[in-house]
Amino acid sequence: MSASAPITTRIGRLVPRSPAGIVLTLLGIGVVLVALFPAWFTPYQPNGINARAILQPPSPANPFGTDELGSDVLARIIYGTRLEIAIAMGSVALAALFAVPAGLLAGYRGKTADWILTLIADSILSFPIVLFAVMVVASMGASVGTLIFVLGIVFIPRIFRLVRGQTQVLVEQGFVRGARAMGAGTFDILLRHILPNILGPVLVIVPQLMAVAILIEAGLSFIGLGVQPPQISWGSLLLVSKNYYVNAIWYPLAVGAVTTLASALLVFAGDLAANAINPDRRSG
Amino acid sequence: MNAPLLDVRDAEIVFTARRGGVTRHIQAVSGASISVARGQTVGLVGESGSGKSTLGAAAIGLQALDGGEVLFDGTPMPAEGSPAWRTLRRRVQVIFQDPFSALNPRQTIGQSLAEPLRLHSMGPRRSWPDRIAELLELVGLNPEMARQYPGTLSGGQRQRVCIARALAVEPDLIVCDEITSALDVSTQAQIVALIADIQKRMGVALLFISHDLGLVRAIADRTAVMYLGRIMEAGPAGEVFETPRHPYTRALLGAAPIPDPVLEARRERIPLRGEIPDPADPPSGCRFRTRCPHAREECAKRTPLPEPAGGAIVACHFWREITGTEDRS
Amino acid sequence: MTRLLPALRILAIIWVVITVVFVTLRLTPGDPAELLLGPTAGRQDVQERLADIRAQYGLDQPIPVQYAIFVGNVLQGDLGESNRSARPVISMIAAAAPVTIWLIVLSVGTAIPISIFLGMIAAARRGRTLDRGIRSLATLCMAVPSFWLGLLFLQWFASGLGWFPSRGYVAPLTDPGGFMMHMALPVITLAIFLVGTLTRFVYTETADTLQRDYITVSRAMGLASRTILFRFAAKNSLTPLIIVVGVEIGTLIGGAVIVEEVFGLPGLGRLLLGAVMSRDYPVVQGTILVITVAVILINIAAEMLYRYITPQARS
Repeated sequence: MSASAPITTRIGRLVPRSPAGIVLTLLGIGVVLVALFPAWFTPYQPNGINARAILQPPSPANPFGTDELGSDVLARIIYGTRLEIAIAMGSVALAALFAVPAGLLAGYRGKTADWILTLIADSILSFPIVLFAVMVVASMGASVGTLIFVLGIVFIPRIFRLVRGQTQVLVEQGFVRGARAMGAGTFDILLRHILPNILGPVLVIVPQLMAVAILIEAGLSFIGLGVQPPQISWGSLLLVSKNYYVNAIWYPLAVGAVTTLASALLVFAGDLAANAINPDRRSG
Repeated sequence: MNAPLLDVRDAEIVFTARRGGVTRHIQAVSGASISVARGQTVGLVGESGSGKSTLGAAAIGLQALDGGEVLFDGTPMPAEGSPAWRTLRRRVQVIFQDPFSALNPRQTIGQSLAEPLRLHSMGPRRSWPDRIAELLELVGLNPEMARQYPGTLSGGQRQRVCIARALAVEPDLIVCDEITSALDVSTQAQIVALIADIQKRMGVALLFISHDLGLVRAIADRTAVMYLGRIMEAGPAGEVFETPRHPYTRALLGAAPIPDPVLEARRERIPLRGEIPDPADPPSGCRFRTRCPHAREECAKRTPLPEPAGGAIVACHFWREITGTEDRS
Repeated sequence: MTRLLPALRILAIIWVVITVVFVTLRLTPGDPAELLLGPTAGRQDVQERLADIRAQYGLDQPIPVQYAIFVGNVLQGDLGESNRSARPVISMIAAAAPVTIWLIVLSVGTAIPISIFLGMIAAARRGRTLDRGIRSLATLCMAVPSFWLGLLFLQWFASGLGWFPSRGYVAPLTDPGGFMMHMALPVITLAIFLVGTLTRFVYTETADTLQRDYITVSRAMGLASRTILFRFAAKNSLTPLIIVVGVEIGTLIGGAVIVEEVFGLPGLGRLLLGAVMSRDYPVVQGTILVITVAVILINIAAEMLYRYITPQARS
């Protein structure tokens, strides 16, 4: 019962030790660089029109072929990364902004605040994600902002539940009771004793939520509720490439494969991180 | 200056627990009084579930009372958050049972020790490292340890850190809540020796809560024996341990033989029969009667009030009779 | 800790859902009456129709009254009429629901045995190549966008090889064979996503079970290890698996919405998306309300089942 695993974790344990962890971390840094500086990674413009090179199959010059306007598919994927990352990270950050304080409050204070916040979280959770997104996007209109907003709301209860549960465990721990006995105020306790100890578990679910964000973005784009042109995301590329399964299969294949790979690696990274902070329950 | 440092009078504490839609009221503490003088060590003994830790928490204002009062230095408990409350939080400290959860795993030992200094503005910040080193030496630890995280420390070392942390703000009273029960036997002895030594040197008062009579006997000036939320017997430690009067104390100590051969035989087999009763549904009258070898009808009808017995007080209708018939002298 | 009676909690959540749907419609830019009426081009009686709708939903009343009318209508099962076909929304939902239910039931039925098999093999071969392979595959199944996979299947197995009809739906009672052929690709697509989630779950559960004492005991008693694995672990993971499906039903319906769109199945998802595209707000509202309430009820049933089988489980 003493010092259960999620509490004894340190930030240091999140630094990858295994080869897979190091590879994934480097890959993650690479993807962020691609998102920030796409021009470093491709000589082409994402919206370049080349009438002589429409729907060309893969070649050394265009490894994933070209699209219906003659643009390099790889270049479009590379330029789509920025919005993809912005949506995935933005929605998780937005959710954390609300869910972490709410979870701390609910877990620490309990009683009425807990009851109300948990009811709100359960209500959000009870909306099927896709339906909720469809409803909100249908009424607010599709844009990057709407996507981040919808996904942010969807992620709130997931982070909230985790933070609340961890806080409830921590409140019973001797060091929190001790701090209270020494006269530490609520804010002090939350900031110095509880927050540092829940940071690990919260960071662990971030990659998983980002994977969900990528998949939802793709799904919403497919039904026409995603990023609007001329902005590019992987989802919008999947939507456009829908028409070329017959004539230019490499186009949807490349975009879909990149999306799948990215979300799979994020899930995998989440598993690795979870194992790193809780070695008793290996699942990845 | 004659007023005791800590004076708990007729404390009542009721917990409300709901299980499966049924609300249960648990009388954790009922009508318990205990006092601690300056520089004195008072042992509070009882089985688990006796309410001793709850009473200890109430004694330093960490548990609200449902009845009775707690006077610290002659004044009632201040309202939470008031300036007087902050002062009180410096003057009373507590050390908990489990040293493994008592230290924030994300803070170094130095940071943990700096916390009370920071909370109570004990001297300028730059003086803290020296103070922390001094505290660590005081409890027999290497000052270098300030840079380590609790994860690398043994249970005994952690408990020493907790003692150092309690001492950091020079309190008047430290409540030691089962501080040895999570440690192995040899470490227990060291920790008790350390706390006894510090108590003598610094003159701090201790409320030493334990289920271990041996430890209490070794450290306490006065002792109170608690059973199911009530104080059964209290008095100078020597008197309580040498001439126990309450049947419960006697049972705990495995006291003098009982002349009745039937009872004697029973006592040998089961010194304290049965389990402690459900605190949500305590026995009427004397709470100990269901396990008492001397229980009679009277015990179920009337609650025995604590009455003077020698230098001590005893809550038993028949203590005279019991001790009288067994008086060997 | 305040623990609300389950029934009260269900009601509270359903109330929140109804309210959110109401508020969302309010937040939609434009006159709600015009939204509910739908496209008005070419209609003679626009003003009269708008007046009718305003009267019907009390849109000329203050917001709280409108809200009360909305809640009252919903509680009576009156979800309004489609502004396209003028059919009652509730009957459109009733017509579309069986398709979605079939899709989900068949997918779950396909995914569960496969997941138990894969998860247990992986757990038994823990740490070896087969285990890593299975779990990587499961992660990929989770990570692949199902519409993309569905379109690839359509391209390869329907258009290319001609094994299956490409789109559309036949009712099971009309033509059982045709029904199976039409459902095969959608079911496989949705099942693949499910296999990803469930295999990972079975793996974790089985790996835990294998470490528990009674497995050790029966191994010591000389039972063949494969028999132990399949007998004990399969029995132990089936119930939690059904619960996981119950808890994940919302995600599953989200997947179904998209799979229906890909394969042209006339289920709830298609009804909803079609309504979104044609701005048929009564249908959007009604479909979301009905599905969400159904999901809540299934979630809560799963949760109660979970509590029932593990008395000490915490939420």
